Amino acid sequence: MKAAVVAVSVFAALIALLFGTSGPDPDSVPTAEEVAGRTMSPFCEGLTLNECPHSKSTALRAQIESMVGEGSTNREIDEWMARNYGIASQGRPGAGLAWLAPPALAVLGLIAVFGVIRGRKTPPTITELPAVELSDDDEARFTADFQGYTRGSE
Amino acid sequence: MDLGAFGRAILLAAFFCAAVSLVFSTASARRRDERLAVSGRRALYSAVILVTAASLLMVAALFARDFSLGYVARYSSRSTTPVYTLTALWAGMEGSLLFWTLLTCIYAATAAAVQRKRRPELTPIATAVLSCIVAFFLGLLAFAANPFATVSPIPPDGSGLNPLLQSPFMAIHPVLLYLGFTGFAVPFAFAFASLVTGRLDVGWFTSTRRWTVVAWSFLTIGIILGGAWAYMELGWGGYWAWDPVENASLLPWLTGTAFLHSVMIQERRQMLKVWNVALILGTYCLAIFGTFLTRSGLLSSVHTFSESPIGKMFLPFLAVMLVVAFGLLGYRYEKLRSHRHLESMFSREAMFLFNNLLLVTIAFTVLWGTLYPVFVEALSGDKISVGPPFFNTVVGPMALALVGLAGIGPLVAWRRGSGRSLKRQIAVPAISGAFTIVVLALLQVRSAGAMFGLGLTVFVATATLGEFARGAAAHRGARPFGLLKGLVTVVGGNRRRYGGYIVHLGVVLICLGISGTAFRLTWSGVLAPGDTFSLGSYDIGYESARTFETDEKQVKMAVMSVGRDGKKVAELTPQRNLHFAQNQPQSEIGLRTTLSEDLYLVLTQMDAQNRVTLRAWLNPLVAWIWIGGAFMALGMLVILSGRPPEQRRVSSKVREAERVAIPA
Repeated sequence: MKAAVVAVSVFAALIALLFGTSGPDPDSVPTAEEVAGRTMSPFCEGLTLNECPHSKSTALRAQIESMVGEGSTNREIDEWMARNYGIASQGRPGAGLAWLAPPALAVLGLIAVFGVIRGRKTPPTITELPAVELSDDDEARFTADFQGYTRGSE
Repeated sequence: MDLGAFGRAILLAAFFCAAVSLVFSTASARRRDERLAVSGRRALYSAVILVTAASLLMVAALFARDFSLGYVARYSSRSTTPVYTLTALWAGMEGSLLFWTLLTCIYAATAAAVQRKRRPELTPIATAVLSCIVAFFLGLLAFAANPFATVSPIPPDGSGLNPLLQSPFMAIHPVLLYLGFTGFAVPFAFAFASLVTGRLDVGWFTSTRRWTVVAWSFLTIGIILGGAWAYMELGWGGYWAWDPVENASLLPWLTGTAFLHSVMIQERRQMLKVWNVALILGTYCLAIFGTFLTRSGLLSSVHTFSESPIGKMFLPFLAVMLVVAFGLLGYRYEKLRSHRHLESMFSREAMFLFNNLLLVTIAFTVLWGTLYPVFVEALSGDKISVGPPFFNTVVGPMALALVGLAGIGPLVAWRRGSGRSLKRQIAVPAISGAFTIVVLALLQVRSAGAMFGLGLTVFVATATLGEFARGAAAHRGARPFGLLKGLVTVVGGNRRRYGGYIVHLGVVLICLGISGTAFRLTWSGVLAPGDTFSLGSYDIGYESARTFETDEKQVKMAVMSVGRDGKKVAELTPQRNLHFAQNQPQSEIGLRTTLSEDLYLVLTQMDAQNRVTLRAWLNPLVAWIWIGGAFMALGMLVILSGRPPEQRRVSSKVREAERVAIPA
């Protein structure tokens, strides 16, 4: 039960985080730098306008700068980009499944981890210890810890 | 017989040998006949010799400028320098497949030779699996993507190597990536063999763990050098663009990293056996998937080869691999299932589980984001793109959490940690990290990602260095020594542990470098000779233009003076070149790099009046990414310099402790 509560809380937090940051506030006026940093360039495969060195990209950045100067909002700029260059310029999927899938997997995994941890059936016994390599470093640390423990209990 | 026919004959012979090796090795496993196993291995060795001969023949043809071969004509020219003539071997689709096959063959033959005595029960099936993989690639080369195909009429000169590939990084980056991708075939084959034979003890991974570390190391360095190539050659001011092919290389790296961590739980506690097998099977399948992506034309990228029918041939191969491997895993599930359980959420095992959860979720996110546009287009016909805005948002927080775990994990004990001990050890790193965040907040840093990134960097670095200090203090009790000798003694005492910590320090430095992105400044504009502009603390002046021609290209160069505090500190010469053979323009960046920041200039245009269109970036901390990569490489060398698991002693002290603690 406790695990489920934690899992659901984490899920809710992740969803809030993702949707809170999945796009800019549509009604605010951004800076040209913000728009160029999140808008995919139609002239450079896989690069944002900010990164694309193509001369047409420079012209498009100047165009966006003038739109920002005139007070255009995020929504207006995105719509203008979509009209002229297609929705691919947004560089991110719309709200929905695309954003939900990764946190959903994270939560499922989290539930599985809690399941593994809470699923123990038998109390641990020393017989379960496998014989493992004890390196020189382990030995030194063990000895130092043991000496510290002995001093502490004196 | 002409060179083309001779080369193809060699490939056909190699294909035949690989097929014979597959049949004999499988038969030897079924009949438990050592003679058949020997024949299978010899057939595989013959395939290696033949593929090596085919590769050398191709290299000879490239150096001899034998343009009767279409591949030589497309990827080299009479003016190509010797280094890039060799690079042409993996610059094109067919050559890169030949090179991939050569590396797979070398790994396969070496693994078969080394493991035949160590793991005689697994080696025949593993050899059969490796031969099957080699045969698939040789089949592609012999029947679908023949690098020795001839052209007629023979052109007087070749097209030459793509100018973007004419970089020292491209001479080495694909080699390392391929060494990484192909290297995962060995643990894949041994995991597969353990499933087939039912020998599911720790044997399969103790004997292949070093192979996994080697493959992972090559892949890691390959990815970092790929970033360096993108930074130096592509001229967009960045090093990672979440490009589909970059993503494809990241996928097996992520699952391979998860495997290298979770396998420690199996070693210590005999748990997570199903998970570990699934991870290593998935890692090689993802490596093949990446190869499919770059060759199928499914996604477009600066890294992809042109669309080719061989891409479609990877799909059935990948499907068969997935179905058979994971089908076997399902079949052996009960036998693999561990009856041990984690005892506490507050244990090293739990930290590794969270690490795995994050790595696998990041891998899923990267795969999902890469393929999402394909799904959307297939279902709705809409063309969308998924790029940095999606990946940075979703992967960024998970990556930060992962870095944080690298600091906490080593401080928590196996089985059940002690809260008091952890509090004592974590106090200094946590205070240092929190202090960093507070200072950045006071400095009015607005990027939350950068604040947490830098805070975590300090936290993990302090925690990791604290581990070195604790190790040194423990050793010093027995033997007093100086700092350097102490470091060597500590690291030598457990190379795997401290090698891992050095890798973690490398990750921390890379995190530091990436955090610098938040403070990036850019400038773009048109300048006439004599104009100046400012970027950060730099004053940059356009002094003059130079234009000249070489045999291969026309060069337009802007001479830029870089000043700071009234003093000239550098002269940068960004160029815009036109390569005649390919009729392809290309920018050469002007770069001034220091530990604190890079000044990065790109010339995008120069008109008849010598006015230049210039972009400038001030990229803070980028150098730390490359330094972090070097740390990671050093850490991997330390890990690999340790004794192989087979040669390690199982501590008699542990056995003695068990004997005393548990009286018969």
